[in-house]
Amino acid sequence: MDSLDDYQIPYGLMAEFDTPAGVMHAAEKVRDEGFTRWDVHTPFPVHGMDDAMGLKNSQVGWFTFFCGLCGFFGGMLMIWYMNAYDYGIPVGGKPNFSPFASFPVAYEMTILSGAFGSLLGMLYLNRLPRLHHPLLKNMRFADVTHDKFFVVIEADDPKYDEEETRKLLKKTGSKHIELVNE
Amino acid sequence: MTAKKKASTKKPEPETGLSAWVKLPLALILIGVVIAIVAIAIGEKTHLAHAWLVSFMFYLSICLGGFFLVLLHYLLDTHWIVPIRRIAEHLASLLPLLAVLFVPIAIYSGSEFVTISSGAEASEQEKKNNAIKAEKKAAEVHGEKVVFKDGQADHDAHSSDGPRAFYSWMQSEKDYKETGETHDHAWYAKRAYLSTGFWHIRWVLCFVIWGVFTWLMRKHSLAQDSDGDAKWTGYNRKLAAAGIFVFAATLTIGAIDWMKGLEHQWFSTMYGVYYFAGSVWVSLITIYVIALRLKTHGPLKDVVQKKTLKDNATLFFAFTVFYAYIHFSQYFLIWNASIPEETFWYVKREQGPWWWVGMLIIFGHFFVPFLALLRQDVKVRSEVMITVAVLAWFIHFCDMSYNIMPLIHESSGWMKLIWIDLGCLLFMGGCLSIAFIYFFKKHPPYPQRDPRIAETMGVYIKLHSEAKVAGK
Repeated sequence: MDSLDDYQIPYGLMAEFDTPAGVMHAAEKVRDEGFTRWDVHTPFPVHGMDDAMGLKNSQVGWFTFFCGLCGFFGGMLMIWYMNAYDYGIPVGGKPNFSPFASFPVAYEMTILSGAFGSLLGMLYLNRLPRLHHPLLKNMRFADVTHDKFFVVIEADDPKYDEEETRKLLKKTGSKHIELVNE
Repeated sequence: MTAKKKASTKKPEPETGLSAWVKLPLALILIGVVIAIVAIAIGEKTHLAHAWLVSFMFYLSICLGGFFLVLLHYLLDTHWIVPIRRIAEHLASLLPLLAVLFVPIAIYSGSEFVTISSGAEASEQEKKNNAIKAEKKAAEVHGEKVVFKDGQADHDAHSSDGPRAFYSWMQSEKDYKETGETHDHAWYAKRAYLSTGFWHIRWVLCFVIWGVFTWLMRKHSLAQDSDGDAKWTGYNRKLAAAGIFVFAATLTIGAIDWMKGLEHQWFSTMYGVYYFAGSVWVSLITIYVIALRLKTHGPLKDVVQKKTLKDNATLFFAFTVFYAYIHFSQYFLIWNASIPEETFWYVKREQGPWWWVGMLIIFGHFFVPFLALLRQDVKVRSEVMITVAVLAWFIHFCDMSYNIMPLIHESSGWMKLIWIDLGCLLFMGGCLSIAFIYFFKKHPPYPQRDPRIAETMGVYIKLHSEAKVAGK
């Protein structure tokens, strides 16, 4: 054992592509092979990538929806409690509480809570925050913020086999395939 | 309204015997005419006139929505709409033809034939009770002091002594010209705008402007089909830049003059945008259904993509929220200010069946479509979208009725005569379907050589730089 690399655990195989079309076709092939733990990295959003990767509808919407709902009724409850129940404020002969008058504020509360729900739900589902990611130490991967496109298949995917997966990625037309360690 | 859709969408199979699809609109027209004759025969002239207006405003909104989408495409250079733009262009090009359907309204706008009792089954006593109820309701809203000022009082005065004019302010104007005095303060204060001559100039101008813009833009679009020159897109962009302002102004004038003008005592700064929001909403879903039909059974099979429909539905979803926001704002401002000359409009619409129609609009125009379309994947599920479309047409019809019908049916009566409304809808739907089918058959079904057609069909064209990389 003379190199530190011998002790390292493989994170996954990284394949580099030059064009969005190239990475899109590669993603379709990887999807059809039935991989589950893999991802595509691009410098900008590529339309149609969700389908190419076989991604389902994001779950974030549920966080948004339920937090929004809580915000709406929480807002209504707050206004009713403050302006009608705890300390009634009569204005212009109108009822102390009315859903019409309260609506704009409750609506703002919906947006606020919905936004928090989206952000926190997204972070939770992405297992963020995390301080480090194995791909980040790869110098070649830095080009993902510039003009290169990557498909990364993780080593703990049940279908992962270093030789076979490498062959698959080669077949998709990648010119540079590299094993990334943890 | 669904019938109209069927007629216009089933059209694109000329080879499978198009005579059947030409016959359907004719049948609709025939049914409409029969219903109209029956309505006149039993003396429901008042209801027929208002039903005609409801129906006219209904189809006007679909056509104006199409016009707006064409403008939107050229202004923002959006590619998603390209496959279905021809549908929007044809809908927009129906606008000048709508002038023909408007002529009866223009002719009878000032004639005094509107009687409130006819049509309404309510007895005088019932009407009085309703008036008292309205007053009580208003009393609750305003505190104890209720003064029905100008507007309401005048309106009652008119409705009680015999037939009044279709647009009652025209009567006030006539009386003023004859006697030199008026008790209609609301009209007097607004007389600079509400003058019969000016009104006629305005509607003629509206239709002329719509005709020029829509036909010119479609002409350019069709010219591009034959020569593929990008300059046509450039021409249309310039037209659209001016057109969007013209569109905003003419739509507002149309909504105010023809619908809001029925109750000229009222104030609402939201009215134009309120009609606009409903228009684009119902137009988007109409185009969706036509596009869906043409995709599954017709020439747009490979042109309209899943994402085209999805984007279409997304915009519809956005307008669901926009409409709710606008209509809520209108109600909220009036509720909050609580000024009698504004609140009377909504007080009237909380009587009898109109309360429930209002509820229907709140739920059917917002909550149901909003919650139904919240998920992404539903937006391309045809069974859901067609259900939503049927709902949307029905609700938009209710929305138009909600604006127009409470004038002559304060309590009951509307539901019993709704077959007349249906007749008008069928008649106009039939007429417009014939024109739409004619347009569609005559011209290519989609902008074949639009600069963005490849992009929107998902054909990936290699950039120059990419071609170089790939070639090496």
